[in-house]
Amino acid sequence: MNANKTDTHPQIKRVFRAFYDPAKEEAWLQNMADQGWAFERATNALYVFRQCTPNTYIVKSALAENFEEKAHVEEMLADSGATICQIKNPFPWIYAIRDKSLGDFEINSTADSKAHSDALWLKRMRTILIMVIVLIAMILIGTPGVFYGNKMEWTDFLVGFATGLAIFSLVFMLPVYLKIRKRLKGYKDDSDIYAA
Amino acid sequence: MNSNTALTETVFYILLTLTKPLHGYGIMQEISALTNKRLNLGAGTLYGALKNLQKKGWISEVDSPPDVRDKRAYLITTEGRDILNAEIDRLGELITNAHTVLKGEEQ
Repeated sequence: MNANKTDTHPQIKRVFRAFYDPAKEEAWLQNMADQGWAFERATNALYVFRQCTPNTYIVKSALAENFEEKAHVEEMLADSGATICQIKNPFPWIYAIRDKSLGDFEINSTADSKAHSDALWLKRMRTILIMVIVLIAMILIGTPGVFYGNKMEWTDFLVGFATGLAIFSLVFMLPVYLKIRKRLKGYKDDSDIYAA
Repeated sequence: MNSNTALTETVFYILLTLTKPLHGYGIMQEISALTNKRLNLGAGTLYGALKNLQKKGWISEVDSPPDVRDKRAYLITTEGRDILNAEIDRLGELITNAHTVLKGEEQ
């Protein structure tokens, strides 16, 4: 990728980190680039960075509606001089990095398109949240049956683990979900001012 | 389309630039140049707008210009041209009325 073109022996850094809020993730990726670590690729929550000159790159991300849209948008971004970061993720995320000398750039430049991208993520988060809530409900319904036996069974451990994971997800996801929903409303209000 | 509905700035400039065949990045460059870099469309924003305009039948996909054969190009349709002309008339009326009212205020 372009990010290492000036480096003779660029170093690689791998960071494991999970984000629910795309804006927070984008800010973190930008901060890494400003510190000299250009985002190169990611497999789910494992991010790979290549050493670069600090404050040289702009990093942007957005969620596309589907993989066809992702391919078209990435083609236009590549034409504009951006490097597309390779992502292994079940969702059609777009990540691009571009040299600051080419000027500022956005993937979604209007309030409407920003709102659309956030709404797509919110919809997916809602699905995940519903699945987590259903999982918790199933565990709560099934738990009394599991504890009928006197000695600890491996299923007890599994139930405990699944409960913990589900509650952890709910506790961390719900505030982010509400925050994005508030941001989305802000975009809509901005858009309405000009549409009025 | 309702003739009283204003086009957004993005849609207006896309229709204006597509009076000749252009591919995605070509549209972005043309709009940026026309507005002295004031309006820089994001690739995601442009894709969404192109998709909507195609759905409305205001633009269509055409053969790419010879210099960019492997990229899809777009061109305004007759319906799109009518919409653009109606918007130019509307904007003209807006400017004329503004000047008339403001001149009357000065006198």
